[in-house]
Amino acid sequence: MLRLAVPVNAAALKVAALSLAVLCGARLMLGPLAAAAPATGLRIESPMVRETLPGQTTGSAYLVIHNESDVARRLLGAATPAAREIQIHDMSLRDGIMRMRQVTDGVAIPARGKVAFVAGGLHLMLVGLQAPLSAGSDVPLTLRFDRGGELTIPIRIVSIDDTTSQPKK
Amino acid sequence: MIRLLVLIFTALLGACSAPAPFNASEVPKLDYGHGVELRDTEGKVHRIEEFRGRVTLLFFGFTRCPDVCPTMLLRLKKVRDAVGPLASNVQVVLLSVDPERDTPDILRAYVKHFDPSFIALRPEPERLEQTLKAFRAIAIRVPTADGSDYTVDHSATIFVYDRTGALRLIAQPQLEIDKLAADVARLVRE
Repeated sequence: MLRLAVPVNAAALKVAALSLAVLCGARLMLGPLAAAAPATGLRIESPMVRETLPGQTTGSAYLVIHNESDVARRLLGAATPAAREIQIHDMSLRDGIMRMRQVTDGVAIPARGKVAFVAGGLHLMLVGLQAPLSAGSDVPLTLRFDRGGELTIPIRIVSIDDTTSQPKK
Repeated sequence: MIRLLVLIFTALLGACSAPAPFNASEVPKLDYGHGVELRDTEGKVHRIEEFRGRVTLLFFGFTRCPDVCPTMLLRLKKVRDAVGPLASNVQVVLLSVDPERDTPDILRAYVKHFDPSFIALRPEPERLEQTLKAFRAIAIRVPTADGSDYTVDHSATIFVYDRTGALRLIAQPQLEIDKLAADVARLVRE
Protein backbone atom coordinates (compact mmCIF):
# COMPACT_ATOMS: atom_id res chain seq x y z
CA MET A 1 0.00 0.00 0.00
CA LEU A 2 2.88 2.33 0.76
CA ARG A 3 3.90 2.02 -2.84
CA LEU A 4 0.91 4.10 -3.80
CA ALA A 5 2.64 7.06 -2.28
CA VAL A 6 5.59 6.68 -4.63
CA PRO A 7 5.41 9.51 -7.19
CA VAL A 8 4.53 8.35 -10.70
CA ASN A 9 5.04 10.28 -13.90
CA ALA A 10 2.16 12.16 -15.41
CA ALA A 11 1.78 9.98 -18.49
CA ALA A 12 1.41 6.83 -16.43
CA LEU A 13 -1.12 8.58 -14.24
CA LYS A 14 -3.09 9.62 -17.29
CA VAL A 15 -3.16 6.05 -18.62
CA ALA A 16 -4.23 4.74 -15.23
CA ALA A 17 -6.99 7.32 -14.92
CA LEU A 18 -8.20 6.60 -18.42
CA SER A 19 -8.21 2.84 -17.78
CA LEU A 20 -10.16 3.35 -14.61
CA ALA A 21 -12.67 5.53 -16.41
CA VAL A 22 -13.07 2.95 -19.19
CA LEU A 23 -13.44 0.14 -16.67
CA CYS A 24 -16.00 2.07 -14.64
CA GLY A 25 -17.85 3.08 -17.76
CA ALA A 26 -17.86 -0.48 -18.98
CA ARG A 27 -19.04 -1.65 -15.64
CA LEU A 28 -21.80 0.89 -15.58
CA MET A 29 -22.88 -0.15 -19.01
CA LEU A 30 -22.64 -3.88 -18.40
CA GLY A 31 -23.89 -3.87 -14.84
CA PRO A 32 -27.62 -3.54 -15.38
CA LEU A 33 -27.48 -5.58 -18.58
CA ALA A 34 -25.67 -8.42 -16.86
CA ALA A 35 -28.21 -8.45 -14.09
CA ALA A 36 -31.17 -8.48 -16.44
CA ALA A 37 -29.84 -10.89 -19.05
CA PRO A 38 -26.86 -12.90 -17.91
CA ALA A 39 -27.34 -15.16 -20.91
CA THR A 40 -26.68 -12.27 -23.30
CA GLY A 41 -25.06 -13.44 -26.52
CA LEU A 42 -26.40 -16.97 -26.22
CA ARG A 43 -28.85 -18.00 -28.90
CA ILE A 44 -30.70 -21.30 -29.20
CA GLU A 45 -31.44 -22.72 -32.63
CA SER A 46 -33.79 -25.57 -33.64
CA PRO A 47 -34.78 -26.78 -30.18
CA MET A 48 -36.83 -29.97 -30.29
CA VAL A 49 -37.58 -33.04 -28.25
CA ARG A 50 -38.58 -36.38 -29.67
CA GLU A 51 -41.96 -37.82 -28.88
CA THR A 52 -41.75 -40.91 -26.72
CA LEU A 53 -42.89 -44.35 -27.75
CA PRO A 54 -45.15 -46.51 -25.60
CA GLY A 55 -43.23 -47.72 -22.57
CA GLN A 56 -40.41 -45.19 -22.88
CA THR A 57 -39.67 -43.26 -19.72
CA THR A 58 -36.84 -41.20 -21.14
CA GLY A 59 -36.73 -38.64 -23.93
CA SER A 60 -34.04 -36.97 -26.03
CA ALA A 61 -33.84 -33.25 -26.74
CA TYR A 62 -31.72 -31.62 -29.41
CA LEU A 63 -30.71 -28.03 -30.12
CA VAL A 64 -27.81 -25.84 -31.16
CA ILE A 65 -26.36 -23.31 -28.72
CA HIS A 66 -24.70 -20.32 -30.37
CA ASN A 67 -22.41 -18.10 -28.35
CA GLU A 68 -22.33 -14.74 -30.12
CA SER A 69 -20.27 -13.10 -27.42
CA ASP A 70 -16.50 -12.82 -27.05
CA VAL A 71 -16.56 -14.75 -23.80
CA ALA A 72 -16.49 -18.55 -23.62
CA ARG A 73 -19.49 -19.90 -21.73
CA ARG A 74 -20.42 -23.22 -20.23
CA LEU A 75 -23.73 -25.07 -20.20
CA LEU A 76 -24.00 -26.46 -16.70
CA GLY A 77 -27.35 -28.17 -16.81
CA ALA A 78 -30.95 -28.09 -17.91
CA ALA A 79 -34.39 -28.66 -16.43
CA THR A 80 -37.98 -29.06 -17.51
CA PRO A 81 -41.23 -29.56 -15.62
CA ALA A 82 -41.86 -32.47 -18.01
CA ALA A 83 -39.18 -34.66 -16.43
CA ARG A 84 -37.65 -35.41 -13.05
CA GLU A 85 -34.25 -34.38 -14.33
CA ILE A 86 -32.28 -33.67 -17.47
CA GLN A 87 -28.89 -35.21 -17.94
CA ILE A 88 -26.37 -34.20 -20.57
CA HIS A 89 -25.31 -37.30 -22.47
CA ASP A 90 -22.75 -37.96 -25.12
CA MET A 91 -23.06 -40.82 -27.58
CA SER A 92 -20.08 -42.13 -29.39
CA LEU A 93 -19.39 -44.98 -31.76
CA ARG A 94 -15.97 -46.45 -31.11
CA ASP A 95 -14.56 -49.75 -32.26
CA GLY A 96 -18.02 -50.93 -33.30
CA ILE A 97 -19.47 -50.28 -29.84
CA MET A 98 -22.17 -47.67 -29.21
CA ARG A 99 -21.43 -45.91 -25.94
CA MET A 100 -23.44 -43.41 -23.95
CA ARG A 101 -21.89 -41.38 -21.17
CA GLN A 102 -23.30 -38.78 -18.82
CA VAL A 103 -21.44 -35.47 -19.00
CA THR A 104 -21.27 -34.12 -15.47
CA ASP A 105 -18.94 -31.15 -15.76
CA GLY A 106 -20.89 -29.17 -18.32
CA VAL A 107 -20.27 -28.36 -21.96
CA ALA A 108 -18.03 -25.49 -23.10
CA ILE A 109 -19.64 -23.15 -25.63
CA PRO A 110 -16.69 -21.36 -27.24
CA ALA A 111 -16.72 -17.60 -27.79
CA ARG A 112 -18.15 -16.80 -31.25
CA GLY A 113 -18.82 -20.52 -31.62
CA LYS A 114 -21.58 -23.08 -31.31
CA VAL A 115 -22.25 -26.54 -29.96
CA ALA A 116 -24.82 -28.84 -31.55
CA PHE A 117 -26.78 -31.34 -29.50
CA VAL A 118 -27.81 -33.91 -32.10
CA ALA A 119 -29.00 -37.49 -32.49
CA GLY A 120 -26.05 -39.82 -32.08
CA GLY A 121 -23.91 -37.18 -30.34
CA LEU A 122 -24.29 -34.81 -27.42
CA HIS A 123 -27.93 -34.65 -26.36
CA LEU A 124 -30.13 -33.77 -23.43
CA MET A 125 -31.74 -36.82 -21.90
CA LEU A 126 -35.03 -36.26 -20.08
CA VAL A 127 -35.12 -38.79 -17.27
CA GLY A 128 -38.27 -39.70 -15.37
CA LEU A 129 -40.89 -38.21 -17.67
CA GLN A 130 -44.02 -37.01 -15.89
CA ALA A 131 -46.13 -38.07 -18.87
CA PRO A 132 -45.50 -39.43 -22.37
CA LEU A 133 -44.31 -36.76 -24.81
CA SER A 134 -46.82 -36.40 -27.64
CA ALA A 135 -45.84 -34.76 -30.90
CA GLY A 136 -47.23 -31.31 -31.63
CA SER A 137 -47.13 -29.62 -28.24
CA ASP A 138 -44.40 -27.63 -26.51
CA VAL A 139 -42.63 -28.08 -23.19
CA PRO A 140 -40.55 -25.42 -21.47
CA LEU A 141 -36.81 -26.01 -21.21
CA THR A 142 -34.49 -24.07 -18.95
CA LEU A 143 -30.80 -24.06 -19.78
CA ARG A 144 -28.44 -23.11 -16.98
CA PHE A 145 -25.10 -21.53 -17.86
CA ASP A 146 -22.09 -20.39 -15.86
CA ARG A 147 -22.03 -16.87 -14.40
CA GLY A 148 -25.68 -17.18 -13.44
CA GLY A 149 -26.94 -17.31 -17.01
CA GLU A 150 -30.30 -18.89 -17.55
CA LEU A 151 -32.49 -19.22 -20.62
CA THR A 152 -36.01 -20.63 -20.71
CA ILE A 153 -37.42 -21.52 -24.09
CA PRO A 154 -40.34 -23.58 -25.38
CA ILE A 155 -39.30 -26.74 -27.19
CA ARG A 156 -41.51 -28.49 -29.68
CA ILE A 157 -42.23 -32.21 -29.31
CA VAL A 158 -41.76 -33.71 -32.77
CA SER A 159 -42.65 -37.06 -34.25
CA ILE A 160 -39.97 -39.72 -34.04
CA ASP A 161 -40.15 -40.04 -37.82
CA ASP A 162 -39.43 -36.35 -38.29
CA THR A 163 -35.75 -36.17 -39.04
CA THR A 164 -35.91 -32.87 -40.89
CA SER A 165 -36.55 -30.76 -37.76
CA GLN A 166 -33.55 -32.25 -36.02
CA PRO A 167 -30.49 -30.07 -35.82
CA LYS A 168 -27.47 -31.39 -37.69
CA LYS A 169 -23.91 -31.39 -36.51
CA MET B 1 5.86 -62.31 -74.11
CA ILE B 2 2.75 -61.52 -76.16
CA ARG B 3 1.10 -64.62 -74.80
CA LEU B 4 1.81 -63.39 -71.26
CA LEU B 5 0.28 -59.98 -72.04
CA VAL B 6 -2.81 -61.64 -73.47
CA LEU B 7 -3.10 -63.74 -70.33
CA ILE B 8 -2.83 -60.67 -68.08
CA PHE B 9 -5.36 -58.80 -70.23
CA THR B 10 -7.79 -61.74 -70.06
CA ALA B 11 -7.35 -61.94 -66.28
CA LEU B 12 -8.10 -58.23 -65.96
CA LEU B 13 -11.21 -58.58 -68.08
CA GLY B 14 -12.31 -61.43 -65.85
CA ALA B 15 -11.87 -59.24 -62.79
CA CYS B 16 -14.02 -56.54 -64.38
CA SER B 17 -16.93 -58.90 -64.89
CA ALA B 18 -16.82 -60.22 -61.29
CA PRO B 19 -19.80 -59.07 -59.23
CA ALA B 20 -19.33 -55.70 -57.57
CA PRO B 21 -18.62 -55.90 -53.87
CA PHE B 22 -21.45 -55.26 -51.42
CA ASN B 23 -21.55 -51.87 -49.70
CA ALA B 24 -21.47 -53.55 -46.29
CA SER B 25 -18.67 -55.97 -45.37
CA GLU B 26 -19.26 -59.41 -46.82
CA VAL B 27 -18.40 -62.33 -44.58
CA PRO B 28 -18.11 -65.96 -45.70
CA LYS B 29 -21.54 -67.31 -44.67
CA LEU B 30 -21.11 -67.36 -40.90
CA ASP B 31 -23.41 -69.14 -38.48
CA TYR B 32 -23.36 -66.49 -35.73
CA GLY B 33 -26.28 -66.97 -33.39
CA HIS B 34 -27.45 -70.22 -35.00
CA GLY B 35 -29.10 -72.63 -32.63
CA VAL B 36 -29.88 -69.98 -30.00
CA GLU B 37 -33.52 -70.02 -28.94
CA LEU B 38 -35.01 -66.58 -28.45
CA ARG B 39 -38.57 -65.64 -27.61
CA ASP B 40 -40.43 -62.92 -29.46
CA THR B 41 -42.84 -60.59 -27.68
CA GLU B 42 -45.71 -63.07 -28.16
CA GLY B 43 -43.77 -65.86 -26.47
CA LYS B 44 -42.99 -67.71 -29.68
CA VAL B 45 -39.54 -69.29 -29.81
CA HIS B 46 -37.33 -68.44 -32.79
CA ARG B 47 -33.88 -69.28 -34.01
CA ILE B 48 -32.28 -66.68 -36.22
CA GLU B 49 -31.62 -69.23 -38.99
CA GLU B 50 -35.34 -70.02 -39.06
CA PHE B 51 -36.04 -66.66 -40.67
CA ARG B 52 -34.66 -68.24 -43.86
CA GLY B 53 -36.64 -67.34 -46.92
CA ARG B 54 -36.30 -63.72 -45.92
CA VAL B 55 -33.30 -61.42 -45.65
CA THR B 56 -33.00 -60.59 -41.97
CA LEU B 57 -31.55 -57.37 -40.58
CA LEU B 58 -30.60 -57.90 -36.95
CA PHE B 59 -29.39 -55.27 -34.58
CA PHE B 60 -28.73 -55.05 -30.87
CA GLY B 61 -30.42 -52.41 -28.77
CA PHE B 62 -32.72 -51.58 -25.87
CA THR B 63 -35.77 -49.42 -25.32
CA ARG B 64 -34.25 -47.17 -22.66
CA CYS B 65 -31.85 -45.92 -25.31
CA PRO B 66 -33.81 -42.85 -26.45
CA ASP B 67 -31.31 -41.51 -28.93
CA VAL B 68 -29.51 -44.01 -31.13
CA CYS B 69 -31.85 -47.01 -31.05
CA PRO B 70 -34.94 -45.18 -32.41
CA THR B 71 -32.71 -43.64 -35.05
CA MET B 72 -31.52 -47.09 -36.05
CA LEU B 73 -35.05 -48.54 -36.20
CA LEU B 74 -36.13 -45.60 -38.32
CA ARG B 75 -33.21 -46.20 -40.68
CA LEU B 76 -34.06 -49.89 -40.98
CA LYS B 77 -37.67 -48.96 -41.70
CA LYS B 78 -36.40 -46.73 -44.52
CA VAL B 79 -34.20 -49.55 -45.82
CA ARG B 80 -37.23 -51.84 -45.91
CA ASP B 81 -39.32 -49.16 -47.65
CA ALA B 82 -36.51 -48.51 -50.15
CA VAL B 83 -36.59 -52.08 -51.51
CA GLY B 84 -40.22 -51.50 -52.57
CA PRO B 85 -42.04 -54.67 -53.64
CA LEU B 86 -39.26 -56.83 -52.13
CA ALA B 87 -40.07 -55.54 -48.63
CA SER B 88 -42.16 -58.59 -47.75
CA ASN B 89 -38.91 -60.59 -48.04
CA VAL B 90 -37.13 -58.42 -45.49
CA GLN B 91 -37.34 -59.03 -41.74
CA VAL B 92 -36.06 -56.49 -39.22
CA VAL B 93 -35.21 -57.94 -35.79
CA LEU B 94 -34.21 -56.07 -32.64
CA LEU B 95 -32.35 -58.24 -30.16
CA SER B 96 -32.69 -56.72 -26.70
CA VAL B 97 -29.47 -56.32 -24.74
CA ASP B 98 -31.46 -55.23 -21.68
CA PRO B 99 -34.05 -57.99 -21.17
CA GLU B 100 -34.46 -57.16 -17.49
CA ARG B 101 -36.09 -53.81 -18.28
CA ASP B 102 -37.30 -54.63 -21.79
CA THR B 103 -40.40 -56.64 -20.95
CA PRO B 104 -42.28 -58.24 -23.87
CA ASP B 105 -44.99 -55.54 -23.63
CA ILE B 106 -42.51 -52.68 -23.73
CA LEU B 107 -40.58 -54.27 -26.60
CA ARG B 108 -43.69 -54.98 -28.65
CA ALA B 109 -45.00 -51.43 -28.39
CA TYR B 110 -41.56 -50.09 -29.20
CA VAL B 111 -40.79 -52.01 -32.38
CA LYS B 112 -44.34 -52.08 -33.75
CA HIS B 113 -44.43 -48.30 -33.63
CA PHE B 114 -41.89 -48.24 -36.42
CA ASP B 115 -43.33 -51.02 -38.53
CA PRO B 116 -45.86 -53.73 -37.72
CA SER B 117 -43.58 -56.28 -39.41
CA PHE B 118 -40.67 -55.63 -37.03
CA ILE B 119 -39.91 -58.28 -34.44
CA ALA B 120 -38.15 -57.96 -31.09
CA LEU B 121 -36.37 -60.96 -29.62
CA ARG B 122 -35.72 -61.10 -25.93
CA PRO B 123 -33.18 -63.44 -24.36
CA GLU B 124 -34.00 -64.61 -20.84
CA PRO B 125 -31.97 -62.30 -18.57
CA GLU B 126 -29.92 -65.22 -17.23
CA ARG B 127 -29.12 -66.30 -20.79
CA LEU B 128 -28.13 -62.89 -22.12
CA GLU B 129 -24.42 -63.53 -21.75
CA GLN B 130 -24.63 -66.86 -23.55
CA THR B 131 -26.80 -65.35 -26.30
CA LEU B 132 -24.39 -62.49 -26.92
CA LYS B 133 -21.50 -64.92 -27.04
CA ALA B 134 -23.26 -66.95 -29.74
CA PHE B 135 -23.72 -63.79 -31.81
CA ARG B 136 -20.16 -62.59 -31.03
CA ALA B 137 -21.82 -59.42 -29.77
CA ILE B 138 -21.02 -57.24 -26.81
CA ALA B 139 -23.22 -55.56 -24.22
CA ILE B 140 -21.75 -53.94 -21.15
CA ARG B 141 -23.79 -52.48 -18.31
CA VAL B 142 -22.46 -49.10 -17.31
CA PRO B 143 -23.77 -47.31 -14.20
CA THR B 144 -24.86 -43.71 -14.71
CA ALA B 145 -22.81 -40.95 -13.08
CA ASP B 146 -24.96 -40.81 -9.95
CA GLY B 147 -25.02 -44.60 -9.68
CA SER B 148 -28.82 -44.78 -9.49
CA ASP B 149 -29.34 -46.29 -12.93
CA TYR B 150 -27.44 -47.95 -15.73
CA THR B 151 -27.08 -47.73 -19.45
CA VAL B 152 -25.82 -50.39 -21.84
CA ASP B 153 -22.90 -50.03 -24.22
CA HIS B 154 -23.52 -52.44 -27.05
CA SER B 155 -22.43 -53.70 -30.46
CA ALA B 156 -23.61 -51.22 -33.03
CA THR B 157 -23.22 -53.24 -36.22
CA ILE B 158 -26.16 -54.58 -38.22
CA PHE B 159 -26.05 -58.28 -39.08
CA VAL B 160 -27.58 -59.16 -42.43
CA TYR B 161 -28.61 -62.79 -42.84
CA ASP B 162 -29.33 -64.08 -46.35
CA ARG B 163 -32.30 -66.19 -47.41
CA THR B 164 -30.50 -69.42 -46.50
CA GLY B 165 -30.15 -68.20 -42.90
CA ALA B 166 -26.38 -67.53 -43.17
CA LEU B 167 -24.85 -64.33 -41.86
CA ARG B 168 -23.59 -62.66 -45.04
CA LEU B 169 -23.01 -58.99 -44.35
CA ILE B 170 -21.95 -56.85 -41.41
CA ALA B 171 -22.98 -53.21 -41.81
CA GLN B 172 -21.77 -50.22 -39.85
CA PRO B 173 -24.67 -48.23 -38.38
CA GLN B 174 -23.82 -45.14 -40.41
CA LEU B 175 -23.92 -46.92 -43.79
CA GLU B 176 -26.21 -44.88 -46.07
CA ILE B 177 -29.79 -46.14 -46.30
CA ASP B 178 -29.73 -46.51 -50.10
CA LYS B 179 -26.48 -48.48 -50.01
CA LEU B 180 -27.76 -50.90 -47.39
CA ALA B 181 -31.05 -51.17 -49.28
CA ALA B 182 -29.15 -52.04 -52.47
CA ASP B 183 -27.30 -54.83 -50.62
CA VAL B 184 -30.53 -56.13 -49.14
CA ALA B 185 -32.31 -56.10 -52.51
CA ARG B 186 -29.40 -58.02 -54.02
CA LEU B 187 -29.58 -60.68 -51.32
CA VAL B 188 -33.36 -60.99 -51.76
CA ARG B 189 -32.84 -61.59 -55.49
CA GLU B 190 -30.11 -64.23 -55.04
